[in-house]
Amino acid sequence: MSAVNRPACAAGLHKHQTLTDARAVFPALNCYDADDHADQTLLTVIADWCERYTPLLAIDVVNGLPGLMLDITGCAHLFKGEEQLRADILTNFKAQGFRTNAAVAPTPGAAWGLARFGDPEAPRIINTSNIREQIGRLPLEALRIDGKTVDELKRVGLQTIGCIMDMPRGPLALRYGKLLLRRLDQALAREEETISPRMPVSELASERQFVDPVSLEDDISRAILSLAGNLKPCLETKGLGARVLVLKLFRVDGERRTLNVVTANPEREPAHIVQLFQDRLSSLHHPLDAGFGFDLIRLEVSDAEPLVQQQSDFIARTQAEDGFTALVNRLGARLGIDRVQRFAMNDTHIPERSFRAMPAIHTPHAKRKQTQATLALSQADELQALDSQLTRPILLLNQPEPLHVLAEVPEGAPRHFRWRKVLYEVKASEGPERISCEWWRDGRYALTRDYFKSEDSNGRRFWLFRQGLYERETHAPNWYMHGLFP
Amino acid sequence: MRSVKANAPMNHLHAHDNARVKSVLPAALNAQLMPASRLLPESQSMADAELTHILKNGLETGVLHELRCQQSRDAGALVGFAFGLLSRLKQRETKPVLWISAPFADTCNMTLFPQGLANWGFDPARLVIVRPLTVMQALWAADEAAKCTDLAAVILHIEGHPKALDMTATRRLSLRASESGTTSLILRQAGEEEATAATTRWCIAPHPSHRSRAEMSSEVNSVLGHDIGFSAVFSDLERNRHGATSSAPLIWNHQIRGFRYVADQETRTTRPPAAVPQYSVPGAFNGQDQPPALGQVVAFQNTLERAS
Repeated sequence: MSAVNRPACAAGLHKHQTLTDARAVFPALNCYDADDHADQTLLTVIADWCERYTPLLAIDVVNGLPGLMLDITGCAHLFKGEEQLRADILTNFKAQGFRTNAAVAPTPGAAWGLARFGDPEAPRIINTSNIREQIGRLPLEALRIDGKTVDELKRVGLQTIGCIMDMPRGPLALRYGKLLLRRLDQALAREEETISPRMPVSELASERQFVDPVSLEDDISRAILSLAGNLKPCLETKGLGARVLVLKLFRVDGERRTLNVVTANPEREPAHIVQLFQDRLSSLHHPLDAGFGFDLIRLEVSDAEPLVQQQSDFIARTQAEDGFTALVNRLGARLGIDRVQRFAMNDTHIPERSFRAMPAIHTPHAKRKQTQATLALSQADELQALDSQLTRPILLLNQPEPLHVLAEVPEGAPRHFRWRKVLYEVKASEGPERISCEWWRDGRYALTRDYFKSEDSNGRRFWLFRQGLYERETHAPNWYMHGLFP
Repeated sequence: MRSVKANAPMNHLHAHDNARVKSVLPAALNAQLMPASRLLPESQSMADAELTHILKNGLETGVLHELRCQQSRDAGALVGFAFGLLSRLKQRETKPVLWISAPFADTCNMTLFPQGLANWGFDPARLVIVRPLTVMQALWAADEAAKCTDLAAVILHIEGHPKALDMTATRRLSLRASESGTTSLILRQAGEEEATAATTRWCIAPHPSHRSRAEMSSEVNSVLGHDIGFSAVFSDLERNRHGATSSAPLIWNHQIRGFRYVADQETRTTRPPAAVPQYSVPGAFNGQDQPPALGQVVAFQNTLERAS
């Protein structure tokens, strides 16, 4: 058995018992399969919800005991003190049907021990002045050490942490290992211990709590506007602009929705930020379910870049609502940043590898490098367009499509071909243009391509290739369609 | 092993060509197509070589135009013509162009090829491609883009006749375009004639280049006899809000990046006989102008009774 509830405990059952034994003790036992994955998910959801108290939060599972560790340094005053904060957490969990133990202590180790093994009557909030006294009363299990060490210590009559607190360190370390001393030091704040938060901490965050939960989209927009207004001076003093903004909406019943928005250029204008989130909200696949309303809204800047202040003049139009970057931002916010693309060039001769589509948001128009093709073009401009022939099609098939081809000679241009079930008669051809394979990528026996530009009787111009050199690489080369010329 | 072709001067050919064109085309066309802004700036050296009557004096910027082709496999000609226009559109400008590819428009499994665009005279770095998931999203994107003054042009690439792109939607697009001055193009692949709010509608078809090869053989000393000549398209101006229509095969002169007429007079006035497609693909899949289904729909039960 991996867990028992309270009535079962009262009936004399305990963890790690076999089911047969338990049934012998208590025949009418209800048992369910343990689902570690669901437990984990539940803990994650609870952790999400707890982010309302502090951004520094870790899920810690020590010795199979799940729990959450919240670093409330500098946060407690927002909830009118540690006592109130703890009470708030306990009430909220109780309202949702969880039985929770919570403790506040100067060190993570002390808080862990106190929450799990503390005496019900003892104070659950301790500070540096009474940490020795309170921790000293706890049993040895509260030190986060393995059961074997605990048993050995108990066998020699050491029952509480207080017993080993002032013992000579040398023999203790020699007999029970260094971990014991380390845990002791961590609990008593002799050694620094930090928790590793589950989410990277955002650069800046602004939040607002609502006494009356909000649920209308207008209200949410207004809240975002005011939060972005709070963030703006902070960003200005740091000389930054937000690139990635995360909006966290905490629902009354413990759900949390997260929306994020990526901007093309650093941004800190509240009105623009609200506009982006409005686009994002209206494009949601599952519309935002406000339920009984959101009682906490937080806006975080999770990525920021330096934003240089620009002097605007009266003549030049300010780059505002109708600018190109604003357009890309809006399209990206609504359709998804992957759906707004620019071409980037790769250094290769294989046509389908020579380019890739990149999200336009990551390649700002102003900063973009001149692509190879552009370079080639501008050079061609200077040389009065010496390359007077069209050698590349304007449309490329995503995947070269096999053709049935009849050619006069094996090495020659096609005479007829059948593509997508239609027969085309070739009237004229140019080529071949030979493109060798990339042996360093495709292997030594990859086939060479001979490209032909062929025109059919109606004037359609196609880009086809024969794969493999006749008799040198293959005896039956295949033909493929690869593009359409204008 | 690229075929080699000697580079011969072509200019005197154009001059001679254009003189005839001017006499052939109706003068009315020239007079009526005189809006304030022009798609093609007055250029000195190639003025005579251009599509003088229709394009340079005619095609307005800051309005909505529609280009269509009858079959998906003619997409090359359609896209080529569109980018030909765009590369002529204030050629020195570096403003970006937004290409909105509506869903189903890429059913042919093709993408724009940056090298080919550069080869055709258009800088691919200026291009931003938007791939929305639904037609409604595509229309929204086109609307937003047409509002933006920072773009050279917006292209909405669609296939067939989506129901959402009706008169109202095109009217809105056209109004947005005229407010912002951003030229908007609808590229309708495999489309029929449909009433839209576009200022002009063109039907583009591929045109054999071997007619121009006859000219070339005298001008250009071709090394390989059967080379393909300059790309040609048959452009049919089907609808023109400001006046007359015309149709003519055009040759894209790659060297000067401009269109010119085919010198052959017969091919200019009459359209080449359209090849009957072996597989007629319906242009519209959810359009509104579908012909009613043939025959009468009768309940199955009835038929059985009648038969017995």
